Amino acid sequence: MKKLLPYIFAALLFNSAALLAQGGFPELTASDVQGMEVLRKDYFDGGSLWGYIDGGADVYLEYGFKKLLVQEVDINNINLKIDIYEMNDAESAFGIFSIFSFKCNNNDELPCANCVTRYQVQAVSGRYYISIVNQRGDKESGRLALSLAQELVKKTGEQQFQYPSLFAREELFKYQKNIKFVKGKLGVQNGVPEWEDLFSEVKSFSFYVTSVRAGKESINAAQIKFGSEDDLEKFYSAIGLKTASDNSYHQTIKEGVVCGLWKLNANEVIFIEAKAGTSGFNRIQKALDNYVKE
Amino acid sequence: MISRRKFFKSLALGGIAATVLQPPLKSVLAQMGTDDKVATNIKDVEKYPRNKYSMPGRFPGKVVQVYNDKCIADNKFNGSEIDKMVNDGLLKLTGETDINKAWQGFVLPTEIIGLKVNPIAGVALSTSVEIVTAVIRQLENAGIPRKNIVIWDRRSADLNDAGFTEGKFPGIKIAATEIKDKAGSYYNKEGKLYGEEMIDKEWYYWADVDGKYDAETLPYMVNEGKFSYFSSICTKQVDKIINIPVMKNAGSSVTLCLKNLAFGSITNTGRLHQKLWSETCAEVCAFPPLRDKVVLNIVDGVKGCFNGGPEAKPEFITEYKTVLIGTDPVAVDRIGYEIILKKRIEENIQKADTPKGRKFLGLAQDLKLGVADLEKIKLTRINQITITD
Repeated sequence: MKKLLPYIFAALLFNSAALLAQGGFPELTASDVQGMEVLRKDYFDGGSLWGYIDGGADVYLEYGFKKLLVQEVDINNINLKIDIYEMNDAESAFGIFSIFSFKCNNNDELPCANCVTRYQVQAVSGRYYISIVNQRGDKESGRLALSLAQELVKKTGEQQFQYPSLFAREELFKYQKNIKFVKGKLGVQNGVPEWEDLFSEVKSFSFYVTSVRAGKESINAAQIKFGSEDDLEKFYSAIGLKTASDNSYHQTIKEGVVCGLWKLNANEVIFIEAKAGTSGFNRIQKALDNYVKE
Repeated sequence: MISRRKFFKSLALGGIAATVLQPPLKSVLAQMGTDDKVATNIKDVEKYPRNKYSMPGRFPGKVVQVYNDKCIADNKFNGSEIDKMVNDGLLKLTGETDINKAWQGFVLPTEIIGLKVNPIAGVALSTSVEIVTAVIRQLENAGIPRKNIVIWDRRSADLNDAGFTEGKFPGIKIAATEIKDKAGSYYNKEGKLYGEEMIDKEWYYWADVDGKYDAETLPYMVNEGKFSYFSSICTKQVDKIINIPVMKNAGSSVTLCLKNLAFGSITNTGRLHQKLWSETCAEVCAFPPLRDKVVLNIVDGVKGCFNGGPEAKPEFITEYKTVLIGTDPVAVDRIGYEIILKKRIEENIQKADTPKGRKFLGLAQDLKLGVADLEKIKLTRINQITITD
């Protein structure tokens, strides 16, 4: 199989430009890879995603799902299942990727955010979220999955999205691999479940959040955008605070958890949360405070 | 090539100070639900008296948890060990010493027995063929003819993908509500959905949420509107149901006995996920086709997941090596919930329990379907551990 890989790469490179030019949905075809047989090819649009993953579809729909291509391929007796989700935008694709990434190894050969584990390669390229699952979990299957992911990323031809500048701050930068983009209530359930109650009365919101490790504890820092001023007020209320009139810092301690807020504008805040007494909290709080006031 | 870290760094250095959350929020606004109480027809269930099999069944609040360290290895199920787990768990639950007698306490040879599986996540994370094989073998030994056994769920395609085929289960009926024919169509020659022929309009769950679907989605929902009809498989075809879900999370909640029954037995479910997930899990099970027919719950936790469910996301799949058995689906779900929660906290997926995740259990308890309070549940553990010298 090792000998076969260079040929596969060559074939992939040759074909990708042509497919990109066609502007079609990124997919793998039998001509892309020597010896590859496409066993299954199914598209799912909109709500028909329920037909593929039933209740699992809801979180994709909430983030903003357009279309899914499911391919199952066999390459020299290695079976791979490829899901290519087209989301409404790059943030939504990254959001899905971020909540489903876990204990990842990053692979530098993929020019985008990726998560490589024994059985799966996940990548997000522009508005496409790509998942390639191999059944065997061995190195050969993993390498093959990675090469297919590389090709699909090329075929998307997508520009990558940008995230809030807050997360480029020195104090947060090294935790960027923890960044999640959360949108809607199912997003919270899957991304930061301990915040479910904070958003139970809020109708529309989305946020980026990262988790800063502090000994055995962690400090969560988020930039939250609400659909309306009313939603922002409901969030303040859930924290146990009155809505601030300026961007000064306010905090509460409830049931041993510290929650702090800066109001950036009528529908946007920066939020920090940690167990009371967590070391490093003051440092992060100060960094965020400086960011708000710059 | 650049790493994810470098990739982020390049973005950060690329002058993105002004780039804050692009606004796809409008679409979210349209989809988001509220916590306002939505009207349903749950009061209808009061018209139907309970029988001796009605949930929570013969053993309210009693759950047996069987752990077996050899039931799976290298992602391969060990059928004989799984058989032993079901066998020993059922004996412990019933207090019987004869496994045939234990089964005969739930089912009779003259009855049609439905095995409600969960096959939606392919072979990777569905009810395993091995545990269903074990149940069938034991049922047969107890005198239930194969022709009286039906393996069923919503979708024929899912059943097939998860390995529930007539080839693997000769003589057993494989039944689905949403049927896809050999040509890949959900419609018959008259242009009618096969699913429409499989529903029983006498039994329905009404909720004041309208289901509207496009042409691609409708075959998976069967009908639109505010009615979710029960499958005739559970209302007419089977006399008793043995529920065999998989140990899976659903966000910070779980999809075990109640979810498998509720969402697997009715149509038009798409409308219910957002606003009525907890209510549906509890209330649909309170209707007689489920409440009075489900005699036993066997949770397949040999392999399960702790996040990403109900999809099969490989990084979240784990070998719990556990089977839960009980007649009380609420109590079994509560124990399953605790197992999954513990794993989620260990894996740093969440920090602590979120009461919203077990809201459906409280609702089910209020409907007298079982016991949700942990302190009132009698849990018995069986450890089948191999000791080597």
